[in-house]
Amino acid sequence: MKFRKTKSLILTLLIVCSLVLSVRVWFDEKLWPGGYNFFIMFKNTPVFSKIFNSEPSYSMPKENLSRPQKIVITNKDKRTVFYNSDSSFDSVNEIVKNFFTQTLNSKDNVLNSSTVAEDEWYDVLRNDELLDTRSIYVDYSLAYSPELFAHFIGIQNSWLEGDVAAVKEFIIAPVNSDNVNALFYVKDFSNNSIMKYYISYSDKGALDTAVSRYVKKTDDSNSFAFELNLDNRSGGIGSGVVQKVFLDSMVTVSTSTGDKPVIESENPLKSGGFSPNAMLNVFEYPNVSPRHYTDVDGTEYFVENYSVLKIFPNGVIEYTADKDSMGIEISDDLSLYESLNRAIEFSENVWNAVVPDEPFNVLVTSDLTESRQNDGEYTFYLDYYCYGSPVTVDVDGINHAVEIKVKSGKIISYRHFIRKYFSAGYSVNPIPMIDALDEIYSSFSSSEDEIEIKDLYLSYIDDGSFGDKTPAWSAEIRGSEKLFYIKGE
Amino acid sequence: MKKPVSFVLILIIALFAVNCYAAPSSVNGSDAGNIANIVIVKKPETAISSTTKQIYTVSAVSVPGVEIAIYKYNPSTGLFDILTDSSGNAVVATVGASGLFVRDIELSENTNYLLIRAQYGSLYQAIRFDITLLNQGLLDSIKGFSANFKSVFGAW
Repeated sequence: MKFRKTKSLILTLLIVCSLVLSVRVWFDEKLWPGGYNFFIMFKNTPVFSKIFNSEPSYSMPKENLSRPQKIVITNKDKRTVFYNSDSSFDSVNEIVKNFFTQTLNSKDNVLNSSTVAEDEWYDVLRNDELLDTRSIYVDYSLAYSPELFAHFIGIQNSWLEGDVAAVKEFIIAPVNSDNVNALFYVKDFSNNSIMKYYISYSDKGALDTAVSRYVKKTDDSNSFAFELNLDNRSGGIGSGVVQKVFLDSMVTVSTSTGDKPVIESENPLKSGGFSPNAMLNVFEYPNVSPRHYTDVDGTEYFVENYSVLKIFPNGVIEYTADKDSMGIEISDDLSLYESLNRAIEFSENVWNAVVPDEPFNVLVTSDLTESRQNDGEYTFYLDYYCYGSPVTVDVDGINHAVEIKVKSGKIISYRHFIRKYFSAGYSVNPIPMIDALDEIYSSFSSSEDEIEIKDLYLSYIDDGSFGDKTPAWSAEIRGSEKLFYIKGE
Repeated sequence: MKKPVSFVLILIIALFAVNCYAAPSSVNGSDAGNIANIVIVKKPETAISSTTKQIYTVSAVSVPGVEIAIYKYNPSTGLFDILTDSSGNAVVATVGASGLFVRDIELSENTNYLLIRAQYGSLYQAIRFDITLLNQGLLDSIKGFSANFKSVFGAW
């Protein structure tokens, strides 16, 4: 009797072992590397990939989404602008991020709230008059839906969703009061209305540190355009001159520019070591016998699964699905958050298939606001980031490093301009901002048109050539999709 | 032979004089100029203002090609002398296509009597404005006194 029990136990153990080993073999990617492995395809479906890949890995593009583009700290007559490439930016951003996560997590922190006029928003920032201004202005490079913003700063939900439709700019003003520790202003990007919240914040000391320790007296006053009255035609001493160029109120006007590094670029598809097989895996093409031919100009075409994958010699990778339903499935959740996350991960996979050991330093540059019209259809743009400045791509009608179209959880079109950037070993001093504005206005229009500059910043321009790339001033003009730029030297 | 050369030289000098009308080093504050509509001072907004910022940004809107310079009153001469920046260069610039002029100037304590002068060829316009630089410490003391006053006697 005892012997039979032992035999049954051994038999059961052997069966379990064989099952475990079989599953391991079936799911091993090495078994059929051609891409036809049914079990791998099964494992890669969105539902199972969540189970198998539960541990989140570090993602530079996602990390970049949680970082503001610019933080402006004003302490009475002093002001410092921190761009996200500056050495002390991370320390300041840590203080801001902690405030956001703690404050937005629970409405218990909000003691009172009201809608305020635009003048109050300006007065909290203004430091050119006799105001006791202590404020932290936080500007993200793109607009987010409040839900998405909450996700990227590391919280599940935020009470902000009920009050505003889209966020991009915030002001934190520490105050000395028994209950209220800070005033928190949020501008609704969708309609420019401003909400003011009276906040109870346990780490108020950190805010005081930010405005006292990190702000320095500099030779450049870094005025906002509204402080210089360059955002409107009213006011001023004198008359009779017609102002043609207006700046958005929140553009910071600098009168001096520091040295900026010059960069070089490289096409990793040409520099050797690139094998299309890894790329084919990412696009779920079989490695064994894809329909493949090469054009006379060197463009490689792969045709499979009702789609075409093209690898151009200039570094562009382009995928197009013949039908929307035949795209590459990345998510079964059609929300903006899920679609964006999976699209970013897909672009990281493409990058890693070409240059596995290099960081993929890109920033999402399309606004991330969800509307009913989206209905699971999104277009995401990503652009390279180098030494704290965006790289503007301008190659044969391509204006972004990555363009991804997602519909109903499937990538239906994908274009990636693959480039590596590195320092050329020297720096230059770009021309002053106002001089750049003169040149941009000259190139924009020969007539007497009025224009409004939404933003003006230093960037690098990649026109596909491989020479040195000096910093260039780029202007976003209201009413125009096109980015205007001039060389910054 | 000498006559054509002299003629060309005179022509070059004349053209140079028209296009590169260097701002005078000193001007009279009472001279408002011979034209009234080639510049608007956008900041400061009013002819008399106060600030606590020592590095102050002056902004103006003008016409492309106009040369704009900023002057400060010199009590020893009674004239306005052209301002210089920290590198010793005169605060002067020719307005570009945008029509915008923005320059930082360093203010001294108390009232700064200033003048902005716009010149285009033989036409020029001068606008006077005064900016008082207040000491931040003094301002804090006034605010402290005001707060104490309110706490003792109540707000109005």
